[in-house]
Amino acid sequence: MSARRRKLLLWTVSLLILFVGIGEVLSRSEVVQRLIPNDAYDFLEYGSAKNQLKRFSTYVHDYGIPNCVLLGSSLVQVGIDPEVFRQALMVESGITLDCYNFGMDASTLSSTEKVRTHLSKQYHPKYYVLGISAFQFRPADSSHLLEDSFFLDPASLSDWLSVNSVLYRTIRYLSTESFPKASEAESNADPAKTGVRPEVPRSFQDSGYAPLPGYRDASPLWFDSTKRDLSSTDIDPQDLVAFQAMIHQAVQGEFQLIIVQMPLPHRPSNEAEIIDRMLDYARSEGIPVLSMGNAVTMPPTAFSDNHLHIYGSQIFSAWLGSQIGKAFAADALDKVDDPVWFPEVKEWAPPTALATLGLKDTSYQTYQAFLDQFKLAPSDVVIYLPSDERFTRNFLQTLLGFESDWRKDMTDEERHKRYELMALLEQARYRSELPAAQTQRNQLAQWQETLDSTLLAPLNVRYVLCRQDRANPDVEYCPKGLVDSPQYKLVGTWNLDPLYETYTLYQIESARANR
Amino acid sequence: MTITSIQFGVFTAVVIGLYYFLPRRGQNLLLLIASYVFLVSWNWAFAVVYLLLTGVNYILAPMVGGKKARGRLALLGGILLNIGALAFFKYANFFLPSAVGLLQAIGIRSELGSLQILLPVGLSFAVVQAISYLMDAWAGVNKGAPGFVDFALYMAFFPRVIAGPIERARVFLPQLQQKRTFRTAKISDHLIVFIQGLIRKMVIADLLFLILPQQVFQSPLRYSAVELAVWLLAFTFALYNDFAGYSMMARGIAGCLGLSLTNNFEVPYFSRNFSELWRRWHISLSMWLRDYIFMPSVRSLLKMKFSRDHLFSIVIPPMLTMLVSALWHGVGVGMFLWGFLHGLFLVIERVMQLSRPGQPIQKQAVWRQLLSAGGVFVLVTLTWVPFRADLAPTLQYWGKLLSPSEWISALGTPQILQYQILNRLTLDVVGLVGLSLILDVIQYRFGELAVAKLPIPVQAVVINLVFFALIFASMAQIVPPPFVYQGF
Repeated sequence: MSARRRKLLLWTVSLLILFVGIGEVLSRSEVVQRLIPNDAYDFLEYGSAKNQLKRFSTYVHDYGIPNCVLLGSSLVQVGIDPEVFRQALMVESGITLDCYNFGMDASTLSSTEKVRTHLSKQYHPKYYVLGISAFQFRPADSSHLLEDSFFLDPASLSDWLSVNSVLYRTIRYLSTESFPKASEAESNADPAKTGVRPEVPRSFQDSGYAPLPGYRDASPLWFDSTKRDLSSTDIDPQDLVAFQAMIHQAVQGEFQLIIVQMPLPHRPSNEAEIIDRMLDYARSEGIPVLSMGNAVTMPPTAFSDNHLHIYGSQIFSAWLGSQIGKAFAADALDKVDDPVWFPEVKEWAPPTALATLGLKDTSYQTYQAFLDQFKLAPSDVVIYLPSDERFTRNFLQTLLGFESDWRKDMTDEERHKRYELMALLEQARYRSELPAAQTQRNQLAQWQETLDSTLLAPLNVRYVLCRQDRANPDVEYCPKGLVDSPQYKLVGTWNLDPLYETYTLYQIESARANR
Repeated sequence: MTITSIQFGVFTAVVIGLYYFLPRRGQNLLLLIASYVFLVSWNWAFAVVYLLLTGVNYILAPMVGGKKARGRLALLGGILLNIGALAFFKYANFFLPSAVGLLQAIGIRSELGSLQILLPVGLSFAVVQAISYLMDAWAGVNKGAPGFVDFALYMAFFPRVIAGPIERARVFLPQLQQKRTFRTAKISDHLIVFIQGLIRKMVIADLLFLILPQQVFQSPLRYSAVELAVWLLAFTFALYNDFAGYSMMARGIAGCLGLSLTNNFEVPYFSRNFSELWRRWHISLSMWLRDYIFMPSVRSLLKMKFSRDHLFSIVIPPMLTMLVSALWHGVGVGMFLWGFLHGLFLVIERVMQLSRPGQPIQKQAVWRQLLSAGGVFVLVTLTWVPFRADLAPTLQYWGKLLSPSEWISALGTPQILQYQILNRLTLDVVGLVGLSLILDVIQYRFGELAVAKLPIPVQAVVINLVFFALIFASMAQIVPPPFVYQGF
């Protein structure tokens, strides 16, 4: 090497060390840290893991390290409420399991195991409850690509730098912030431009639980769940290895693992074969598995799509806590064939929150006070719901109640809107709930044709509440001519997230005149 | 294995490491093996296609250079065969649906519709090289008959196989007759060229493509006139830096192997007329088109007694040349329109030269040169719309971009500064376009090796800046976008 090149090399390396040193010091300064907030997780490509790791850090900071972590996909994240689970388990066993719900969207067993390894190294939780479904074992999809770059691997230079160099993280942060992918920038700027239906918002809780507020078009109420069948019984080798690794670690005594079969609106074809193979394997290694084999399917009203919505998750979480509590009480954690792991469920108990319409006690009192002031429809009149009963009114009210309490970003006005519909549903009566005398039934049938409001008067009906499915807007539950009829006056419309349908209230003009 | 990947860097380093220990023939054989390994890394079938194409042309070339009647037949057959291969791989997917529809219309059911034909990487470049080789053989300008290894290397030399430059056999093959030595290779100079290419590709082109909305050329009506202007500017510089970057990287690697490739770009957006543009943009293709399409058509017209200033001589050669260029790039009405417009620009330029003969633009006042360069740049930029989009979106794009009322309504919006001009993405575009122009000015004024002339401490600062810029750019993207021209 010539002297000139040696000199250039020396200068280059010296300057590199100088720049990196200055950059590292500056990046760690308070000013820069305030301007460019970032941490080691910011560089993760797998958004679900990144967000959950951040939430988990905050949780540990605020509440301490949990002794239990719920692992799995979005089925777990939206399906298990750690608080309901904790209470139910304590009732049965007297043991307190403070769980953090680490369910991750689109997570495979492979990504779940990577998270589990990280959590075990950093926090050593004693219990893991792994919720599984056959979908997590589907042959390799692109999520493995993301997983490969999503976790902190000390053997990789990039990951080592992201943990140890604030300068590296700062450059990374500046780079991705300065050059967001155009598609992401667009969708952030204007969701309407993307033409994609916005996802039903979740309510992320401190505990990692992120319930869905209600049902939607992909709910089994409208959507044929068999369309979600698995195409084959093949199992992704990477997922299988991860599953075996997790079980192996548990068998070594590093932690207590409990596997739970997650509820689905129907058991897809090929699901049984996949899941049975996995569960049998786990049992053969001495890992307890809570099977759903002897349980009836949860009602379709419990699901938003393949996932439980908040109403369903409250039912399932209570049952799950109770069942694992029984296992603790029976000291059956190492008895994989104990009947407690194969419970028979003939009927799913409604959530306890049904009594307060999904509202917390304080909110329920507020709602009662609201009812006292409610003037949209007098409390002594009947509101007619001219359709067959699909949901109990109580169920609909509870979904609205859950949402108005759980969504942190809800304004008073939005909450008020939900209370209004809850109050209207209180007075609403389906056709089948109105007096059953034959002549009156005939009158109702006539009303469907003629819209003659005088036919409703003898039934004390002063209002008509029409519903329209957003999933099936062409299905008419209300007579078509109602909108244009001079006998009926539009009072208001309620188009609220938890109910995938729109409600419209009409007042009968003659009743209005009488008042 | 893409040329910007770490794997490719390791692969090339291993090849260079072995290369200079080998004798001349061994060097050529190693490069050939490396080239086919590179092809197989994309798809083994690509290697088979290249081998067949190489074999057929190698067999045909001596026939073409032989007796006149037989040679003419062999030349014609060879050209048709090469074009046929290109048409099959490149255009089959375009025409298959129509063919299936036609068959169905006459009652024949066909499974062809489900067929997907993969275009071997860089095939368009290989085909034009093969045709030039045959035509040069016919003209008798090839210097001797090469061995099969050398010819196969000419067809598939790995640094340039993805997207050129298009080399002439008479320039490339003689280089293979010399032993290349490490001492004479001037590796550091070629590394400078390679790194400049890497900067153009990874820092400028990739980042511009990253922020360019995918829908802007499909649904231009969703964007305001201001946004359309910004994104067109972004595409203009992204395309240039993508291709110029690749060409520089290819030249840099070839240079490290002691082989010289054609310089494909010489600051094309500084061109002051369209003839100059085509001497600066994709130079190797322009020269190919000049030698095998433009000049033969001029000669044919002269033979048919049409003088140089006859309407036919003014219109047909440039128009034909640009339409062939468009067809080489792809089929589609948009691409045809792109070729037609560039043909038209050349025709208009020729007419103006004939009607107002004067000093060449290079000798005119600086302000005139700047004005001309600005005009050429605007027109070139506008023609990138049909280059990228179909006809209907092109018309929508132009309509909105060039409509004064759209600009008035956009600029009349109070939020214009905040949302459309001073936003982060616009600043990104301005910054990257600025960087491209700085590199262009340096290249234009001081040459590609300008950095080597700087004092050593400044060179060291530049190397560090390049290092950080590459790290910064690579962090912004998980998967770097492929080279645009590798799809041609």
